[in-house]
Amino acid sequence: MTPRKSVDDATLVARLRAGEPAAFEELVRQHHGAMKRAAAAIIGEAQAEEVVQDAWLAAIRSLPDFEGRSTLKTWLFSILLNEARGRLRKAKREIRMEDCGASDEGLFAPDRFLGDGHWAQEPQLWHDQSPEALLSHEDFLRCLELVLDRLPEAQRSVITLREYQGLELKQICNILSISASNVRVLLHRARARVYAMADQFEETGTC
Amino acid sequence: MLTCRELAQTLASDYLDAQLTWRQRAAVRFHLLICNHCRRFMRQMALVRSLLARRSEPPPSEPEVKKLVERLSRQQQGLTGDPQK
Repeated sequence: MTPRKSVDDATLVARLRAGEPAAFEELVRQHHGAMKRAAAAIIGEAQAEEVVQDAWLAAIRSLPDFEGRSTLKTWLFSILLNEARGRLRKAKREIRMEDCGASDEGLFAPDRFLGDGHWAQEPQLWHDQSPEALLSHEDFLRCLELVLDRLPEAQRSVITLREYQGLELKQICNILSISASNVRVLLHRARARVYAMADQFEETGTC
Repeated sequence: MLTCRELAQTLASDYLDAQLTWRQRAAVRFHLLICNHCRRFMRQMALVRSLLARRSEPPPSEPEVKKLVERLSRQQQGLTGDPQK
């Protein structure tokens, strides 16, 4: 946490405590979208909005307790993750095991490798060598959303919480109530699909 | 000796999440040192990860922001017992 950020947070919190509407607006604009995405990853699109609303209200109730030991954003998201986790428990929704898959498919088709385990056909060189370069293609952005949309729900949950929210594997196990080995398998599967899409995009310019 | 197949098909994801034993990790590192195909592959996997971290979310709509801000300010004023304006 940079000093600058904690100063910004402290000022914003003071304004929130004073009930200044502009301060609420600033906070909502900054975080609402990301909160909705995180909630959807845990509880599903349909209930995400309600969970986020509850999290906002819980956050306002807890404002007097905010001590600035973490950033305001971290604090807000811990409230949100808690709400979503509680809701998931209550709904007793379970991660569908077929999403985890029994057969252990790799990232590549088996024939990409020779009998001795070497590449039969090595990974091709990508034109785009940085995330900025890839994300600058409109078509790629569309392909990325598409591949994420089409992931089995459990895979999408796990990859969103890991890569987008930056949560540790342990936290993901705890929130979704699934074992560490299932989280690892789901993550591996999800990354495999996104990788395959990116690889195909680099080769053909489409997905 | 670790093969390209084992690295790419099963260990890559766990390597990125630091979920391997030290022995497996050492084997992956050594393999990457001597195999430029796998180095390329791991660079691409790391790139795929950072793509997702940078994905931006759609901003909330104006009516959505307005409604929520009103609700939150109202609640905060109710809590402090200090109705403003």
